[in-house]
Amino acid sequence: VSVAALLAPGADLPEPVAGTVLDELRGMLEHVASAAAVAADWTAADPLRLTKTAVAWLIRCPRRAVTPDSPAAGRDVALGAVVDAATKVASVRRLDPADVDGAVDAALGWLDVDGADTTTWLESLPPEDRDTFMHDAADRVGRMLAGWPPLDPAWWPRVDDWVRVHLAGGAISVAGKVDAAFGGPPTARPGVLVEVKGGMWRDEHRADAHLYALLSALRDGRAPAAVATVCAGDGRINVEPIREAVLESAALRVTQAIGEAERLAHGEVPVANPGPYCVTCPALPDCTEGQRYSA
Amino acid sequence: VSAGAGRERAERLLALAAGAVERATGGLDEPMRVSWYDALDADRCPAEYRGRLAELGGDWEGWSPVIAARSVARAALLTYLESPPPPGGVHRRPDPLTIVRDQIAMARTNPVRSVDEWLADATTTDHERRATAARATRWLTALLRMIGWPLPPRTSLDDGPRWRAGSVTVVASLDATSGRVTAAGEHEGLVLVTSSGRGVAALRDRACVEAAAMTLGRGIAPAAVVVLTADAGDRICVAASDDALARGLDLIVAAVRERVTARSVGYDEADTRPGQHCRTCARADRCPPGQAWLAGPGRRRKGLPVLP
Repeated sequence: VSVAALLAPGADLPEPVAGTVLDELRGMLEHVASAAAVAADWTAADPLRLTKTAVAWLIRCPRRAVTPDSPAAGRDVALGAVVDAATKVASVRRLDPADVDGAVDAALGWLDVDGADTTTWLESLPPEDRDTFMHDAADRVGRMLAGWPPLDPAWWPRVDDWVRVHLAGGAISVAGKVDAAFGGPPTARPGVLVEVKGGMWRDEHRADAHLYALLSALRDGRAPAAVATVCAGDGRINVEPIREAVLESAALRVTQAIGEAERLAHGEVPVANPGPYCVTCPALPDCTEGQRYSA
Repeated sequence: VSAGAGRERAERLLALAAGAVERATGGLDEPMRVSWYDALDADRCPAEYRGRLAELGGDWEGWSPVIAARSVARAALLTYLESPPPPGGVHRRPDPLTIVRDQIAMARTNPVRSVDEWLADATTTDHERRATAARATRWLTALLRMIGWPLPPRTSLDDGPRWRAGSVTVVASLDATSGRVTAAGEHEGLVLVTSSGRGVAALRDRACVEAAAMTLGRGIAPAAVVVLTADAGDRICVAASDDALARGLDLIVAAVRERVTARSVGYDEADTRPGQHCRTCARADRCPPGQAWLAGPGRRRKGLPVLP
């Protein structure tokens, strides 16, 4: 499986979901959102803003959902940023899979222009750590490029494609940023979304992919045919064909997250559901359940 | 729409506008350019807007991929439409990446506009050109997705009109207009926004400002301004009624007033309007009313409570 195979002529992709199914899903979301917005006092001026991360934490561990994030920094974040940037460069310019160092250089240049502090962080490393980082970055970018399709403008490639759905008159919004998108309306080609992860595959990535498919479907009136998650850490590529049931599942997760957010907005104590993620959770120092689990 | 409705609405607005803008300048005779960006920011929090002007100035800081993308995308589409059509006489739907790259290549070999000169400049890096291409491609994809192909009849990609009153220039920032400009004002202004994150109320205000600026610049009010949201796929249509035009003019005049005030008074906490924008405000840690809002009504983060 590769992104290139998905975009190859004759690729086996499902017929994109469109029509009344999407109307019904929007209707269900609107119904739940409208009631919740009134109950929780969310308005267009002071809305509930959901992202894939917020949806995931509200369902998995509400305690984590209401904990501010720590500033992201460090090696893994930087590696992810480089792979992500390499994907974006490869979406607008052909990158030679045989010249991985050139691709890493192009990715670092992209990050620089984007105002990311990756290069500053990199320059702060001792030379031997920097060499190790560059070696690892090249490994991951190489894995990503190995399955990347040749640049074909007819697919209308675009990067950092924001998708957003406003519910209850804007009192609740659900938004996401797709790393790379190909085809879809108004082209006659099926839509294919690509999410790039710098690290290893985790099963939670599937729900993120489903959510992006739902948001994209509601925006465009036609669902993408597939969402591919490329994990440069282990080279795994997971392809999710987007069928009705996938979109329904994503919509139900959104309603579940809205319901949990409503309970929290009412002042209910957020439940802590400990798990392997506790190790890196910023709430851990104050979370008894997380500490017990981690011990 | 009556035969002269567009002109009549424009005449009513013009009768108010020159005096209102002149009063707002308070006699200051320095060139000032006001667009939707000033109008919305000054309305959102006058204190922050003035403080930013006083500290950073409101001057043009040069091209960057973020700023150049829209300009390059629109130029790419215009160049494509002006190129000879293939046999059969009809342009097929262009691939955004192809025509954006062609536009950048053309700008580098034959720079005509200021953005072309930036793209051609030896100090502009390939990384910047690539980022510009990516952003312009995304912008153009969204435009074509929203307005369709072939473009709606009588679509024009001309820049929005400008209107001068003394030292003040009011700029309409339209992405396209559709329909023919007649005294009846049957045409529409089209604006593509990449993010609808500021909310529908701000987008409606944006439409009012563009409608007023179009009306002042052309002497004819459009039927409506349509805001197309690239991220949500929504079309927010605001009819250019007298009320909408008056709202747009009020926002423009208020921005002029704040620009003038900023010459002597920058940030002043008495003029703050705390709200959602405090969360991302660069001045938040230096603004007592903003901090009070964040600790009180704004305690919720993106709609969720925040644990201490």
